[in-house]
Amino acid sequence: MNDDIRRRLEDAGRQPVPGPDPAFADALEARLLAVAGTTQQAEPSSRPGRPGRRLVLGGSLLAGAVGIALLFAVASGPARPVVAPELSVPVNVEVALADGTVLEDPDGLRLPEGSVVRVGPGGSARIGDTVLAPGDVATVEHGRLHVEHDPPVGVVPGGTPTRSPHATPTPTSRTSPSPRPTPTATAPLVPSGSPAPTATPAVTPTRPPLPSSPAQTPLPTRTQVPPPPTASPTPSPTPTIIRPRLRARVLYAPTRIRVTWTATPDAASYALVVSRSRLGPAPRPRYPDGRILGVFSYPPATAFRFRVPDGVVEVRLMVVALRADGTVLARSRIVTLAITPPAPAVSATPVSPTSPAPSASPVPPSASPVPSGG
Amino acid sequence: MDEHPDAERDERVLVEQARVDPSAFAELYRRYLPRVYAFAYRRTGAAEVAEDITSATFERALRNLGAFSWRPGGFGPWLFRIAANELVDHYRRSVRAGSPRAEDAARRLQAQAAPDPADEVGARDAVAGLLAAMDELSPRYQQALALRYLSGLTPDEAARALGTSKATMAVVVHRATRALRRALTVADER
Repeated sequence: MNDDIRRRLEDAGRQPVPGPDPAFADALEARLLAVAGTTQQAEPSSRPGRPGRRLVLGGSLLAGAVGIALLFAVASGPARPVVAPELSVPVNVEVALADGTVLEDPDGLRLPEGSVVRVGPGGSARIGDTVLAPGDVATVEHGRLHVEHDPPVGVVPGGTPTRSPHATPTPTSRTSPSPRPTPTATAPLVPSGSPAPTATPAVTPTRPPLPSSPAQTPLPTRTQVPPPPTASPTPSPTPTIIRPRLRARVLYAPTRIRVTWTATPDAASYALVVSRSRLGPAPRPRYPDGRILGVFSYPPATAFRFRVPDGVVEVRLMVVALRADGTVLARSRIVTLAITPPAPAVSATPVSPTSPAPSASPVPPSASPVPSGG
Repeated sequence: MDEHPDAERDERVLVEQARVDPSAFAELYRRYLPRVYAFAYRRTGAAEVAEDITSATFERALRNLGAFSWRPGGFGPWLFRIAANELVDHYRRSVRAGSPRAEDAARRLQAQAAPDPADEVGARDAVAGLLAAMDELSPRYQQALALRYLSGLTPDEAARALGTSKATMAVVVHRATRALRRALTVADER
């Protein structure tokens, strides 16, 4: 009988296994390099080839104890405890999650363990009371935020030619609360180890931060109780729960999905759930069993983007509004996006810098909301 | 990991380089990525979970490289031990998330694994059942069986990855196999 089990186990070990997705492999390598950079700077005293593991451990413990003591003694140390590391007002910021997913300017994202935040040229962001400047790299380890204030390689201090004229001024103070940068423009972030993107689909001309005309679809705000997105005002309060209205569209070169949604009253947070497929229709996004791309404290003030691995043909998204106790308050409709890369003959720039912002189209042609049905 | 002394020496040099220059870790990463991913995929049957496990494994390895001391067999068994720990953590979390539903989800994931010809469906289901039953075992038994049968390591390497001698590994695998048989019997009776 044991022989039978052993044979079955051996069969399981011989099962054909598809290779890792090249996009995943590349993303993970880039992420490891980013982590390596911060680790190297944070731990310069590690000696190579040291055989005494106990000595290393002892040294690490001692260094850790000293670090903790310093942390409590010096409030402005590089590693500070953050109860809920939350990224806000990101401009030209990339967040690499532990699974290799890369999000661009995800406003309101609660940074999960292992996430690496990189600020590109002309960019800025805030995590708690920490203001990040161009070139800064922040990592979340064991619930704490570690920030490396280093200028990015190859970036001339004081501005670069790639920086948009509308880019937000660099914050002068890193620790004091500075006026919130207005994300009026997004310069392309150039990740290390990958070629610089030739197109700048994310550049948006200056636009008002809040809707200025009643006919315009309201942008999501950070207020917990915004007006219903499209419904006309009703004379009496209605007991129905307003579900988040999810909007998503595909951007190409590189393939990314641009996402935003409206607020649901009484929602304490929002989980963005994603499913994807490389062959045929993507499965229905599920919560909490499905892949949760991120949990956000509020709907992003401006749409953020996340990258789609090569070969994915369909992506489905859903936003789940959560109560403070984590229970589901409302779910958005499921948005299905077909990924059809443009033909090579077509211009590589999907959105001209002078054309209206991509979010101006209320219903993207590639998005097809599907009733979730619960 | 590598049977050739030259390859092992080369790998040792790489590890030493990676200690002082973590960017050298990229070479080790490229060398081991397919095997670690395959190990995670065989155990979980789901590409997305395998990607998560692979990411966590390499990141943990990178962060703990300073504590790694070179042993015969090299870097691989150490890396696979991290992967095995990550797998155990993953299943522990799944159980915590709600056992029956997690089990169902896991079975569904197994069923969705790589599109195979119809005549392989029976074999795939059998493997899925076997892997699901493995979730019921103790972490050490899970690690032992996964490292011995699903990692592609030799028995020697699997023993090193588990941190035991070859003889002890054989005993642990034997007991784990017996426990797995009991778990399968219980599952069949349900």
